Amino acid sequence: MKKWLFVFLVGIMALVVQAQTLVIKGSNTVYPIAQLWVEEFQKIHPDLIVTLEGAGSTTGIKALFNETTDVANSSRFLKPSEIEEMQKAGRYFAPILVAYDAIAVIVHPSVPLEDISIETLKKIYTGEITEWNQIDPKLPKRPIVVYSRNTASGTFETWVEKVLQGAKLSPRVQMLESSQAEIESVAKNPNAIAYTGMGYVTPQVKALKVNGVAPSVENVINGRYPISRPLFVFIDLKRFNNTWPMEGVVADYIRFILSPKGQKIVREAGYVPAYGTGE
Amino acid sequence: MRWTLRILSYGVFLAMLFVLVSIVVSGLPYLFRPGFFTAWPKRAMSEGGIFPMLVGSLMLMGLVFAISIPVGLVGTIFLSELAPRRLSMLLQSLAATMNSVPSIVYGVFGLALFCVKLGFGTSLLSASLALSTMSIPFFMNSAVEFLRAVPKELREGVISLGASKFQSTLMVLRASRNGILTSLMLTLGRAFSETAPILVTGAVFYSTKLPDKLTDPVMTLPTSIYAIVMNLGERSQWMARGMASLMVLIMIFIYSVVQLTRRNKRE
Repeated sequence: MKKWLFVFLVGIMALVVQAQTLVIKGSNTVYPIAQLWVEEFQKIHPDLIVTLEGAGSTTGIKALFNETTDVANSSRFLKPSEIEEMQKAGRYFAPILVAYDAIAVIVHPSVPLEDISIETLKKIYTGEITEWNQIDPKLPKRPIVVYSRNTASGTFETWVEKVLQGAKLSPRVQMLESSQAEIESVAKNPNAIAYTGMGYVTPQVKALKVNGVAPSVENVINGRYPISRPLFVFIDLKRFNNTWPMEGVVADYIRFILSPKGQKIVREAGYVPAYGTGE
Repeated sequence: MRWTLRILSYGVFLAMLFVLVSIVVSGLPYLFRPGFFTAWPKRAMSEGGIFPMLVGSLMLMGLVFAISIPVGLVGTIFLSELAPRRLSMLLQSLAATMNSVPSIVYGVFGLALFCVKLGFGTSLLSASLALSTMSIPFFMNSAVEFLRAVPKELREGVISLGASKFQSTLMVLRASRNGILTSLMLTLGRAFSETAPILVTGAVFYSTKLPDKLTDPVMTLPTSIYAIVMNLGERSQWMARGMASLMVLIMIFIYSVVQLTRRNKRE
């Protein structure tokens, strides 16, 4: 019996032929970009096997610790506890900024409002403010129709973090399934307000300044625009003798996602490219 | 009173029917898209087809069967033919207990044992082993009843004619083959639709290649539905709806086969 088990195990080991692989795990927010990256990257490396999982930033970083992934996607920087654990283990996870998840606040173009504060937005979304003239007495006394993205989206996550700041969403808020649906609803309704990924804003709607800062790519990149968060890709430098990898699959992948082509994909997925697209 | 009961039961039946029909109908048109069954998903699953998920699920099912049929059959025969009555009862209630364990527990167990301890990693092998740990007790629990249903007199008669224990067991198996087939189909249905155990042990959301060895990770139908709903935008949701519809159709097919074999038995 033992002998057979041994034969079985050896048989399995024999099947493990080393093929070149790239394993990517982590954030659900980065996942849509990552899948598009992988599809394009595959065209450059047709023989490479890439696998991709999205199970949250924390899972991705944990996988880096366990050495079960090559690349960890993350919608946040390392937590203090993770940094401590990393330093104890004598390792260094290099952060690579790949994109920004920036959110624009949109209203109908006819609304005579240019600027809105985070405070006011929080009050609108928690139901404290329900009419336009409560924002500005010059605005009409009409109820605000409030739209939000559904709770499964990364955009919603950022909104909760940056605007609601722990407060509860009012039940008056209507959930919409897509950015497209938000744009269309706001374009039709002069009483509506909504938020959407900056990449989706069209001339049909007006994107407001937030805390006096215009929602432009420049303001996102220089950090002045308040409703945005950076998206990272982490790699473990210990795997590369504590230096930056110059060759190999991981190095090629990083080079690709930061290239103008890779950054164009970021924009396609509805996010703000961190390095521009060379246009 | 009688009418209330009748209306209530029709209501429940209609509600169940509504759920099934609405899942199937909402995804049905996508099944006829060109390349839905033969193409790789493209543009973050907003275009293309479900080829790798379909093949992955089939591969997984094949492996689960290769593991669970022999082990499950041996276990069932032991329970019904060989074990002393007390032990048999104890083991059967153990199998029944294992049946009611939430499936994610099998996933976490498989992750700890197969992926980490035995070093199989996130792979087809780990996933099929984890799924088998779940489906073997399920199979045994259902199949043992069919073996027990074979009349005792038949066994005694065969043995009195000079048959060995082995031959009498074979006879019992032959007599209950429809029941065993039914149990197999039910196990297949259960394993096919299970998401949690494979989600943590062997499935990835996207892979550029089909697994060509046992230690490769795999894409499957249920985990891909989960991935699309959780991670991707509305442009990709049609694919999840199509896969859900396909899975319900396959389950309906499996359960129809079960009903047909049962009817054959009665005749």
